[in-house]
Amino acid sequence: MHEASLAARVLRIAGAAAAGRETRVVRITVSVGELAGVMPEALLFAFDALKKNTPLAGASLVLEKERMCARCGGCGAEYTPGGFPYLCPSCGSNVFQIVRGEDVSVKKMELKQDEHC
Amino acid sequence: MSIVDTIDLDCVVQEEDIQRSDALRSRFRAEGVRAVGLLGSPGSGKTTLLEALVPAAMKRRTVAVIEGDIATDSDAQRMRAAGAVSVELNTDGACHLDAAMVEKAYGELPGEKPELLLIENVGNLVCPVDFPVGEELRIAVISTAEGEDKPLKYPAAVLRTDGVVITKTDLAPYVRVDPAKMAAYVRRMNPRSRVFFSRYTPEGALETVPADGGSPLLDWILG
Repeated sequence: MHEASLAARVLRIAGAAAAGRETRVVRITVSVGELAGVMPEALLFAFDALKKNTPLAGASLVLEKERMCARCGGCGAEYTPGGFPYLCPSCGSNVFQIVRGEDVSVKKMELKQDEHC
Repeated sequence: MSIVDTIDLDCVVQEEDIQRSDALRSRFRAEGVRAVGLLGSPGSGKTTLLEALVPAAMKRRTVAVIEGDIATDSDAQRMRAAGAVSVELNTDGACHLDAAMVEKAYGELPGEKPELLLIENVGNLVCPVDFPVGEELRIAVISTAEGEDKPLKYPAAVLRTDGVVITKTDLAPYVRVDPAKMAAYVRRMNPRSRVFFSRYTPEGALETVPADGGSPLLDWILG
């Protein structure tokens, strides 16, 4: 639902990380948690709209889906839950904490040398 | 056109929201304020639930309510009528509160800092889940009239909250919903979640009871 503000923050994070470099950002990889409430198409659309006339105008956004990960409250094992109820495959406990899948993260950026004539 | 450099970042984009909420929670704790957030669809019964909770809570704590709405201050008026100090936080279109808005509204509360701060989010079962507002407890309010399968259809609202109040169980026969089934969905999805039922009694009082054998809602809220 808030893809435009997320896209603006992705650009801000990437812009800060690339600042002062001679090279130019060509690709930004972002992971989107399946519980994050983010529509990939809307994030891509917002990114392309907001990058115009910025130093990141030439960068493309690559999205990776991050699967949910739960940590078992019984034995501590981490697992990817299927349907409800979430049960630990190691010990069968139904107590869990979600440890991944709620966030949107900038994972990496790829840069290349600018071509000079 | 070859890649010459890769920068690994692993930088959470919502970090700012999370940090702001964590800082606000620390501030609430330092000032002796217990903050409890309510979220749920428009018309799920959040304000009505608070109208019943406020007078009971005020026998045990000082209470203030931050009311989040797109427009109008009618909910803050209802809270003041119920006896609480209340400020209305109009988002002018935004579909959720965030920690910065709540901190500003908190600063506008008149008088002494309350022992219990109730924060009612904008009516919406989706977005508020993504924006913590410094609360100790988050409660989702889902009415029977919304449909039996709503917990399953809005998993984040069940997985990322601490409890669910299933409201309007007195309407359940008319909307052909089994409240026990809704409670079972919540328990199956999130076994740590508290579950409550609320309804109007034939005498016209709003009654809230635990659906999970645990403590009463007010005791749980007060901590």
